[in-house]
Amino acid sequence: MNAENFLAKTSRTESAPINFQEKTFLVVDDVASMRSSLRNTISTLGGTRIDMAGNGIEAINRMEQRAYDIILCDYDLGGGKDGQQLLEEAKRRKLVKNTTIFMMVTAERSYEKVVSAAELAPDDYLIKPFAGEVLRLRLEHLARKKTYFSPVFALMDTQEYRRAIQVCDELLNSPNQYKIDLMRLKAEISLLLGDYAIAGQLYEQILAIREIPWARMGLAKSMYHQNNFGAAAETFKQVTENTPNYMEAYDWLAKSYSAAGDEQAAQRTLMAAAEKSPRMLERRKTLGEIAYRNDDLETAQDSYEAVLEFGKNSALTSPEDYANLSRVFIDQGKCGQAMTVMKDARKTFKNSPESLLHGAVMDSLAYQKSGDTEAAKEALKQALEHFEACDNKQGGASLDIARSCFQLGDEETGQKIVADFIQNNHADKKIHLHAENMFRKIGMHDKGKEIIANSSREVVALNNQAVRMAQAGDLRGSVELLMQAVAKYQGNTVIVLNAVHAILAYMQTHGWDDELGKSAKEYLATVKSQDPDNQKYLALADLYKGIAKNHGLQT
Amino acid sequence: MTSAGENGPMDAIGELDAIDFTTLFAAQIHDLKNLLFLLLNSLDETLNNSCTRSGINDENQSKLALLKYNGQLINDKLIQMLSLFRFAQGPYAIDIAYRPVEELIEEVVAETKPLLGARSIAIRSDVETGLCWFFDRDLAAGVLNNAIHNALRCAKSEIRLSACAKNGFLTIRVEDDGDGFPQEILENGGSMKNLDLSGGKTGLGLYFSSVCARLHTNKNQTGRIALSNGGSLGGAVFTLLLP
Repeated sequence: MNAENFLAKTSRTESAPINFQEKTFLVVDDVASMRSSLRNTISTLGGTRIDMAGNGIEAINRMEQRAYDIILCDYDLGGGKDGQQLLEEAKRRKLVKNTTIFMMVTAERSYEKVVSAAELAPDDYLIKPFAGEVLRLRLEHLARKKTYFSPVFALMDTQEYRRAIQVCDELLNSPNQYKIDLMRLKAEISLLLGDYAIAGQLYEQILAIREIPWARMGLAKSMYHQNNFGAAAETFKQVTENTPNYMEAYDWLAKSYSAAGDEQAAQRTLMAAAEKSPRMLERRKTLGEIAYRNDDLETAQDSYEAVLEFGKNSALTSPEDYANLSRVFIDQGKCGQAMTVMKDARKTFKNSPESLLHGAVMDSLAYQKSGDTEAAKEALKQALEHFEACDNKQGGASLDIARSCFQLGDEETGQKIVADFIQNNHADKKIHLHAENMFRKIGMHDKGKEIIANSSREVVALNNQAVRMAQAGDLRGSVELLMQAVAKYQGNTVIVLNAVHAILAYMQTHGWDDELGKSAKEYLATVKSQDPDNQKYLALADLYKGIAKNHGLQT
Repeated sequence: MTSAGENGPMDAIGELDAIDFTTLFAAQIHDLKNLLFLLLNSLDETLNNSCTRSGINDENQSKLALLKYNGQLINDKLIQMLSLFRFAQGPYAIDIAYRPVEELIEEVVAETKPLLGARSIAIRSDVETGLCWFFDRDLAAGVLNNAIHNALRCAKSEIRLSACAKNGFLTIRVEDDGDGFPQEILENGGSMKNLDLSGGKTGLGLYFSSVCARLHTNKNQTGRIALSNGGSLGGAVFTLLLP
């Protein structure tokens, strides 16, 4: 496609007027006079069913009770959540329908709002002051756009991504004003499905028409996912240079540096980003982790403190965030502060099992550091009890407990905990790094490496054997081997998903098998509960649905 | 640190030195835009109420329209100042998206109509059907609104908006049937030369428009504005060209 042809005329369907009287509105603004003013504007359009919310929490409560057609939300909601965070929470919790129009209202456009992923962006934004007529026109245009995209979004909702792509292709066949949006959506779905090369091509096509930051960004992501970290880093860097407010680009640039092994560059990148937008919790957490691994305790402390400070009164922090800060204090020899942090954690989370577990572990490490071995042993004993009672052993508490065990001389328990942890996460490079770092800090670098390698060796071997069997045509054997592996390493998402993959491959050639189909469905449900956004999970769930459908089964 | 006021008035002045006025002004413009929104909305409300209650006479309608028009001029200035401040702050990333040009024109026309009041000025628009282009909607709307508000001041009976694609440029014209641009504006409009910060009229609007146009680049092409007299209505012709 060349740019000249591309810019030729497109057909445009006329917007139908909206009957605003039928629509339900939610107005979110922290200023009362602004709310009533917005309500007035809506009334002039004929709207009557208008609810109001003065902050993010109220807005969420309203949305839980009623599915709104049109939401007008001010970006700046005073303290607490801003409009974008509100939108993201509402989307995550499926409180906005595909047909809901979410309009951000702001006094000034900020670039950050504009460049978020299409999936998480508001449908549109209006800059104050605006005339009622303009609001009407915007809403009509959006309603038309929503109708146009509704078949694709409906399929995405039921996670039928392949079919969603087919529908995008059909829509792309007739030229129209939405073609760039369609290409972007298709590229985003391709990234989701792991079709990275296809996504990359789509972004290249868009870039040939026009240099657009999100397209450059998408291209870089596709490079990253194809393990082309050098090129990805270069491209992300280009985005940060051309559009310095595109914050997501910094996160990916740091990820690319990390993946290429340059942790110092990763830390520098995140520090620059944290300075530009200090309130982003996820970025601060990552910065804390990297700085801690780089032995830059000062930066680690700053970052984790910022996480706790900015995350106060939100559901965005966990006891693990307190443990992260406490760990830095212990390494700095500030044992009192380390224990105070965990006291705060227990208080904040009202003695939840997770907070008690993290609290006991960090206490035991703090006692050790201050030389009180007896108290340390007592705290470790409690920690192990909490750990046993805990269902989810994925969290970072494993490494802290292991560290405490090793330091107090209980090598056997320490080794077992590390082995379990690694076996359940054998493919997660970040967890390997954390474990190696822990061993290095307690002076067991070489021994630790050996433990890590031994722990993952068996899983890796099993997995590889299954892959070889499948390649040699023994699909059934591969399925059986992986199902045994699942029984042994239940928490290992990679193994569970590989088992699903093998089952689906087997059924694709040998036809539907009720027993296997049932297992696959169970496995998928397990992964969904642990890691709902896992990309491989999404792709396999999609494949599962397709196969079941081909065999006339309801999913 | 000593508490404020303890050491007399000189300290209060000294304190002022510490304020970052550029940032302060930007933040205040934010608040002003919010207040203006409230102001214009209550104006609409008043207009609607008096319309339904007693029917409104021409004179009052004109007065209210004039109020709205002046409110819009204030908004134009706020947008221009805030945008130029952001441009100056550092690399400014514009929000280029592929959009129907018709929607843009429709919106600026919808914003202009309430400003006419009892004046018998016709606003016509002529956009190539189905024309879509890559542009920054907010910047383009800011430029067009400014041009239309200028035209409203001079037009006798008609303002015409037209848009087409020509030689790789989206070309949007705002024409009126007034007396046309004065000579010095035709020569220097939109350039730094025309900026006269000491005089009463600053020429900021045209300068802003020219910067917005130039921020639009595509391959080796750059956007621009053009001013001329004549055109289809015989008055001023403002042209925005975006690659």
